[in-house]
This record gives sequence, structure tokens and C-alpha cells, in this order.
Amino acid sequence: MDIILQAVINGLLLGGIYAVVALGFSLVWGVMNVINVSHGAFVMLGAFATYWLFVLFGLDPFVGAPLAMVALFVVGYAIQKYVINLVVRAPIYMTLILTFGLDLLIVNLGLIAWSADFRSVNTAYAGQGLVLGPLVIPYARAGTLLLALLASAALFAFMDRTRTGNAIRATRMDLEAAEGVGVRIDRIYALTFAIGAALAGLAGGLISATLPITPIMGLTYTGKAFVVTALGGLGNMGGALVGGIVLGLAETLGATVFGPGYQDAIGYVLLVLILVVRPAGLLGRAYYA
Amino acid sequence: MREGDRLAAPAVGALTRGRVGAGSLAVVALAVGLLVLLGVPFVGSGYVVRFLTELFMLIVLAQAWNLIGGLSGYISFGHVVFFGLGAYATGLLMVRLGLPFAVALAGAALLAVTFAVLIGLPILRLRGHYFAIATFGVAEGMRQIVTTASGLTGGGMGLNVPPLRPPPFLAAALGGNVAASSGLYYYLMLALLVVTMLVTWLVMHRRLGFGLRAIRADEDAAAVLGVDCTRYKTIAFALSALFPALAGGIYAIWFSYIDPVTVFGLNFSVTMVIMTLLGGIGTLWGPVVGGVLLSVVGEVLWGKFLELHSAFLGAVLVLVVIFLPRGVVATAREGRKALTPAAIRRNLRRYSV
Repeated sequence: MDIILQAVINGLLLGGIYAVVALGFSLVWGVMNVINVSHGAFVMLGAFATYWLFVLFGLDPFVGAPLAMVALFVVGYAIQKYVINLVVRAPIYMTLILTFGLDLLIVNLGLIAWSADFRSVNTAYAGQGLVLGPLVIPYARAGTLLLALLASAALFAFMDRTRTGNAIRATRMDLEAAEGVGVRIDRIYALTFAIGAALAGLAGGLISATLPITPIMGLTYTGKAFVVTALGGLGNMGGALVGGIVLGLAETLGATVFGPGYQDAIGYVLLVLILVVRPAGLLGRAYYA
Repeated sequence: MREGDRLAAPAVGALTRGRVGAGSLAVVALAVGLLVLLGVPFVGSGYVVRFLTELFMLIVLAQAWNLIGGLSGYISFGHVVFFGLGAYATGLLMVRLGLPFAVALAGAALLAVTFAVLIGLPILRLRGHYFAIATFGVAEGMRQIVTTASGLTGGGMGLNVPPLRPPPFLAAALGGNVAASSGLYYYLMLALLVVTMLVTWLVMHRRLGFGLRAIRADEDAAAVLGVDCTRYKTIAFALSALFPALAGGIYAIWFSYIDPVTVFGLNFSVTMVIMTLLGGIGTLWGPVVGGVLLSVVGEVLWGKFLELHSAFLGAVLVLVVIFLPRGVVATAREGRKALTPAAIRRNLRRYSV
């Protein structure tokens, strides 16, 4: 029983990270119809930015991660404005290839700069946690979940309450109508991609607080983003949050039942099953079919 | 060689346009080209033979992807799963059951086609992105399962596959120019390439190909017109699984070592898509042109910039998507007109916001 409870706790904590990774990925896909395969590369950049802030300036990863988020926002804005916007209306597989090219470029430059070695952010509180009887809640992971939930709440408020957020939602719902009422599509696209990259950067920073990082870590998280997006429904932000938590729980519970080797396979089997049974995701409907 | 090239150029053009008038000339050119390729192991260096063997394999993979992705518009993003299944099934049937290579390869092909039909029936109902994600999920899931089921597959440690003993006459014929085994794998891959090209050509000029193109244009309309969409898509998917499985089987004995990260690698899935797009999606010669370009560019970069090679490849992809969104074959057909600044600007404006 304790093992199951601990697995649930670990799953919730892991799911928070998956949710933030998938939020940005799902947003970009839903609004622009672009599958950003380089999303994982942005996660990696966020992780390394946080790592270097920690190593060079002694900045705590929970301070570094928001700074990485700002940096990735700028990078994302520039990439969308000067590269992806040029071909954003091409068939979906063209933008897929484009972002795969970006991914190759970023990851391999990262490999040259930082080598493939694993690195860790060794904080004073690493490995410590709140002990509740037989259960342990690691501080770093709890902080990660907290920041993940805060970021999601901020994003939801932004999309709901601000004019710009509403413009993004309008663009997602009906591109031509949004253009007709004066929404500058190119800027909205750049902003959307910037938010997506910023969330990836934040997720990377949070990951670096709890797990070892390497320049080739991104692909795993692109894969997770795929699974969560399919679970939650394309472009559905509430769905991304729920989907992230569901995937985290499914992985840790599955690993407890079937053995740790199957943790990643469970996610993909779940993905295919969900797609076949409920192509629009667990919640809500698809924006693009 | 030059004579062959000169003849091949118009013939290739005629074939891609499906014109019959230049048919005999095209056949002659293709026969000459094939003869040249058959002669390579007698004169070429070991490096050239190896380079071409790999190129043939990649073109087979791209052409197989083109059968489903190019013709029907169902973009598979996990097509490597059939290559990996072929490699592992061939290897396991040889190692665990001691079957001869030919029997193991046939078993692997049967397994991959069966798997394609079983998985295709549910996921081919998905459209657009959902199909792409599902295929990605199938491939990654299969990689994880093969990695974890180490009792059967050897897991992440990989599997050693016994090499194939080349027939004595081949060693005698090659006369020691290159190792007889290199020649054997070269001819196996070349034969597979020829069969793949022939089958693709046949599909494109038969009812199946027309049906698939109708599905790509508008699936609902195709269904109304009487195209049995499910059957057509499933057949195309099974065919597009067959050739990668065969290529995987040959790869397994060629490298005599396989591991899940390599033979189920996302890189293969992406290479298939890129080669086809680069050359021209949905065309017979697109995967060939794209494959040759990508391999040659990759080889040159590999030699000159060992460390930056993959980063350069990424940059090349970005530039190709932006400046040649319709592929090399279609662009080359327009001739010099396609390369004027006005045409490039027009290309850019077509898809930008």
C-alpha cells in the first residue's frame, strides 16, 4: 500500500513537469497548426541556462528557471518571427521538417558546446524531503510542482483576462475572422511561439533542479509532450494539465506494477490506445482534425 | 558513365511525367544505369560499395514511406518500426531458431506485414496529425518493448546476428577487388531497391495508385466515388511496411549487430520523410533524387566538418523547407525560372503570414 501511495506522490510530482512541457507544445500546435519537434531542444536550453546560472553565479534553480523562461521567450519570438512565419501556412509536414531541422541544429550545437556528459545542479537541499511516516516528498520536486501549477495558472489567467490572450484564442478558433477584426496574425504567432518556448524553458529549469541534464535530453520530453497532447486534446490547455498529471501517474504506477523498465513504454501504449478509442483526447474536442 | 547520365536525364523526366512516347528510350537508359550499378563492386573501392549499399537502403526506406505518405497523404512519423521489426525478427529467427537467412527474412516480412495490417486497421482511421502521432507512438512504444524484453531480444545490449557466408562464385568473380561479403550485401540491397522501384511504379500506374491519390485529394469524395478507402489504405500501408522490413533484415546480417536505439531510431523515420520531401513527395524519382542529394551532402559535410556535421544537416533542412518547399524534382522541372529572385520571393510569400 505504501508503495502505491509513494508511486501516486511521485506521479503527481512528475506529472507537473510533463504538464508544463506539454502546455507550450499544445498551445503552439493548437494555435498555429505547427508540430514543434524542437520543443524538447528548448527544454534542454532552459535546463542548461539554469545550470550555468547556478554554476557561475550560484543562483538557486528556482530563481534561475524563471530567468531561463524569459531568455527562451526572446529566443522563441525571434525564431517564429524570422524563420517559422515564412512557411507557417505550408502543409503540416513541412513545418514538422523545419522544426526537426531546428532541433538538429540546436541539439548538435549544444553537444559541441557542452559535450554529451550528464550534469546536475547540486543544491544544498538535493535529496532531502518531507518525511510523512513511510512516505517521502522531496522538497525540490514539491517546489517543481508548485512552480508548474503557478505557471499554468498564470497562463490561463493571461489567455482568459487580457486582450492579447483573447486575440490568441480568437486566432485559434477562427484565423480569418480574427484577421478580419484586426488581429495582427504574424505578431500573435510570434507571441504564441514565444510563450511555448518560455514554458519549455521553465520546464527545463525545473527539470534541472531534480534530474541530471544532457544536450540530448530533449527528445524524451518532445515524446512526452506528444503523449500528453494526445491525452488532453490538441490545443486544449486544461487538457494538457490533466493529461500531464495522468501520464505522470500512469508511468509511476505502471512502473511499480510492471517493473521500472516499462515506464516509458506505458506512455506510448497509452497514447496509441487513447488515439484509437478517443481521438479528440480525454477532455474536450480537437481544434484541428 | 557520362553516356548513361546523358541518356538518363530525359528518360527520367519522361518517366516522372508518365509519358509513354519516350518509353523505350527510358527503358534503355534504366538498363544502362542498372548495368553500371551491377559493375560497381568489380571496380569501385570498398568505401564506394559501402556508401552505395547504405544509399540503396535509405532510398528503399524513403520510397516505402512515399507509398503511403506521398500517395495517400497519410504522413507516417514512425515508419522505422517496420525496419526495426524486420531487423529483429530476422536476427531472432536466425539466432534463436537457427533458421537460414532466406527463411528468417521471409518470416520477418510476413510478421511486419501482419503487424502493419493489425495496427493499420485502427490507426488508418485517424486523420492528419492524429495518424502522425499514432505512428510515432507505435514506433517509440515498440522500441521500449524491445529494449525491455531483454530475455528474448537481448535488450539494450543488442543482438549479435551471424553474418552470411557469400557464395564462392561471387568471391571468384569479384577477384578480391572488394570483400565478397561487401559485394553480397551490395547486391542484396540493389535487388531490393529494384523491386521497390518496380512495385512503386506499378502501384502508381494501377488502380491502387489512382485510388490513393483520390484519398489524398479528398477522402470523403473518394469514398463517395466508390473507392474502398479502408482497403486501399491498408494495402498501401502493408506494402510500405514490407520493404523496410526486408531492408531491416538485410541490415541485420550486414552489420551483424543490431540494437533498439539504432534500428528503431527516430533518425530513420525522419530521414525517410526528408529524403522524399527533398526530392519531391508523391513522385517515383523523388526519393531517389532526395536520397542521393542528402547522402552526398551528408558525406561531404561529414568529411569536412566532423563535429558540425549534424548541425549543418539541420541548417540544410531549414533552408530547404524555406526555399524549396515543393522539392527538387518539381523545382528542377521549371528550370532556370525557379531560381530567379522573383520566383524565390513568390515561393516565400506563398506560405508566410
